[in-house]
Amino acid sequence: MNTTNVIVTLVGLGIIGWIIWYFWLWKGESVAARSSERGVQEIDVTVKGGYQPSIITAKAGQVLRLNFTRRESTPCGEEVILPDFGKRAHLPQDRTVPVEIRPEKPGEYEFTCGMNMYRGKLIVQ
Amino acid sequence: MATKAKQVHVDPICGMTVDPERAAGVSERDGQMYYFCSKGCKEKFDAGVGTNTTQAAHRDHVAYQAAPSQPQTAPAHSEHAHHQAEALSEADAEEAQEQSYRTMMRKFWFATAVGIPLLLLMFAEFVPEWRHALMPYHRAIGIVSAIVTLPVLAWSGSQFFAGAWNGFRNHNTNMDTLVALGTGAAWAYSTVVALAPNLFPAGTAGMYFEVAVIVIALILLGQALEIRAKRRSSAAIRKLLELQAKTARVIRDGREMDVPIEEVVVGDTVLVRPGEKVPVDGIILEGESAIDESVVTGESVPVDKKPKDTVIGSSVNKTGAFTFRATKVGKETALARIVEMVERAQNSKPPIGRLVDKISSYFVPSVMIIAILTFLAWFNFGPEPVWNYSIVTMVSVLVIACPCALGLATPISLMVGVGKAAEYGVLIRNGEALETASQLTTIVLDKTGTITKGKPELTDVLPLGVSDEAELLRLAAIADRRSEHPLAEAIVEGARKRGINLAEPEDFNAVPGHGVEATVEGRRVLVGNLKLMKRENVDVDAFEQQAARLADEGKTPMFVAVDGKPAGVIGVADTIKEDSVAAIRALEQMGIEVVMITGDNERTAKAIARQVGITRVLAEVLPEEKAQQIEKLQAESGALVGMVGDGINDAPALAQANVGFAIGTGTDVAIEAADVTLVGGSLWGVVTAIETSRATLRNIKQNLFGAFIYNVLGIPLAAGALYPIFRILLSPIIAGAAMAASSITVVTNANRLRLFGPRRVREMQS
Repeated sequence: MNTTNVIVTLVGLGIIGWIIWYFWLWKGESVAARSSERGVQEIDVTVKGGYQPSIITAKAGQVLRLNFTRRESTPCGEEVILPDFGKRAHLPQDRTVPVEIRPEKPGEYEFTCGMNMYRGKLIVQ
Repeated sequence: MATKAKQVHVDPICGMTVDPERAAGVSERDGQMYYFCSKGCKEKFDAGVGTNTTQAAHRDHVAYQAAPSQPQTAPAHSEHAHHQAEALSEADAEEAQEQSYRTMMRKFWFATAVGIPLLLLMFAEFVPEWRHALMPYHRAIGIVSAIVTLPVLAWSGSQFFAGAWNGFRNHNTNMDTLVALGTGAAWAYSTVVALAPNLFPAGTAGMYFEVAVIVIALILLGQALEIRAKRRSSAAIRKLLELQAKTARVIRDGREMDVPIEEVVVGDTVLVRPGEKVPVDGIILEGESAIDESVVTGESVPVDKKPKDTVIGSSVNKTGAFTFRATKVGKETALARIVEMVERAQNSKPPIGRLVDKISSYFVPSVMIIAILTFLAWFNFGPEPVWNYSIVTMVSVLVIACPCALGLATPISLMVGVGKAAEYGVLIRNGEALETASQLTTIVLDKTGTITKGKPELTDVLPLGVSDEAELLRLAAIADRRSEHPLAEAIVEGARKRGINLAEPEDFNAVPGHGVEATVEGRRVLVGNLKLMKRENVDVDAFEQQAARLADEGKTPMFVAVDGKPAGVIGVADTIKEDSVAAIRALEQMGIEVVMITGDNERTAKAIARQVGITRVLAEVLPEEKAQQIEKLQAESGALVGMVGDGINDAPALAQANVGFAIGTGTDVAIEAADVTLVGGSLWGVVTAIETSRATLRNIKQNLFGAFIYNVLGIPLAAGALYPIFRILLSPIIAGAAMAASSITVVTNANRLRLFGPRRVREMQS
């Protein structure tokens, strides 16, 4: 193995380590849904290469309105699914689509895109 | 109502819903008020920009007009506004899909137009003379290629690069990440080779511009075709809603008028003529007809309807004209609720999909790591020219991996399968119910109302001695005429069906728990059970033989005495539904054990069981014990038990069963109670439910298997696993094509389910 090989191998292994850290070990911050006066919790979620915010906390037993806005042209995020609530919404580009659910029980619920590549988490307390 | 209408205001620029009180701006155009979510949107609108103006304006218009115009119909109107809004957003979604399809196809053609000459150049390199002739221009060709392919990456491939970048910023990966990395690496490496060939040992560095471009083209084509196919798979349920009538002929203040279906309110009297569709749900007031309810029940045979019978919106009136009182409109109609339930089920997840979810969340980073390891392996251990091999195999790994096929495998089949079941009147609550239904080993059938019609009918008239059949029935029916007991009603109905004219009894007395006594044409007639006969000192021995025979057949004997003497026995029984026998046989042929459960006595229960071909009977089970019986069955070698009942008194048993099937008819859909609702009253619904579930699950498994195998075999193949022995290396172009084909294959396989026809339909066709 010459120097080039050693350098290339080290760089490659470095990138692998970085991938693991950046994509797997990184934990996002959660954002709490704000409560409006009529007992409805609301949060705006931007769909752009994922969900921003991707971790949302909300209270149980209250209606939660997730306002999704897809700000990208790739069709990946054009559908959002909340399987635990049986909801699916089509998200046309640059339009806000409100999705209303009523999480009754505390727990963690996922929401994903139609192909399960974008993933978000709803923490109900 | 005003608040409801308010919610429908839509920002004409961005499409956001806006609360007028909190709007960032307001503008007026053509006498119409528009509300905006932000100052930017208002500015754009005022400057005349804005793609959604017409649609949004229309939506707002509807919302505006809704509340004040006609107070008594306000609920329907506001509902109308919402429906309208929904219909439009559906159209919007379709338009948006069509738009992205067209854009993708344009991008595809552009990439193809650039890619084909490059591909030809690459092939030319394989012909020694041409290769020789091109040699002096090698570098120039490379630089030109780098320039002409850049717009392809920048425009055709923009969505991949943008998607990958957006994902990256979110610590997220997706399919775009792989495509962008693969094509980007191919292009960047080739460009370095073209610009600075001296960096590599002479003659060892190749250029792969055509790879970058053709892979982009193929994946775009794949995605475009996928959009088309996906639209087909969700079409079934949308079709149901299209079947609604658009207008209704209502009678208000004695005047007939045609109104849009959205304006029909509960309590309206609606007129339906032959050949027309019933606009909403209701109860017939006057007139009789045969109605084709197949849209809701899946039953193709028209149902006879008379006053007081219920009618279902969207069913087709065949023969007579009738009027009915609207009882459910808008989102409350049976059809609307069915559509809602089916959509919920389509979006749920069966347990089988959970493992896939776990896998796909680790998928893309894993592929990236494998790609790097592949590069390193070739770089350190591969043959010369190592740079070429390392880059080519890494690009192949990146572009062959297809997380989409995995992610799509379950939901797309579920969507088609649940929609298909609904077409045949079987409503499956969610993915879990579907998966369990496909694995059931035992089906427990409630007797009354499930196997049988649940309504007693006259079956036998057995005169004794002097009187004849018609005379016996006539006397008994007249005596029973004023009774409200179901058995008495069955005798009266039976006499009417046989064309017997019934006079009024001169005197009538109902003896609770016994029967009736009446005076008919001067004679004293007793109709009732054995207790009545004994109480009135009628010689009961004369009845014995006939009574025993009827009981053996599962029928209830009703004794008739005239002037204190035995006159005959009339058999009344809850008759078996026409298709119960065939449906039960079909279940057994599918390898499912069929058990009957009933509160009736063992003799009657066994008689019915014999007639329908059931060997295992659980008789004399009190309603509250039914659930326990189900539990016992479940304990038997871990059987998965389905319970079929009418959904009301069977509710605990339905809940205890692994899958509860509620038999509902039309508007009485017991949607809340069960995992599966059979809209038609037939037991064939159970067969169809299980068949559809099995077919859907098989389809999901095929998809998952295909997607797994594809990735598990494809990735090592792309990495060059075959090279050490067979000297075979996959071209990245083939890898890209395979990736595009794999998700289309999954969607196409799911669409195959649309061709599925349940056994009953197949039998009817043959």
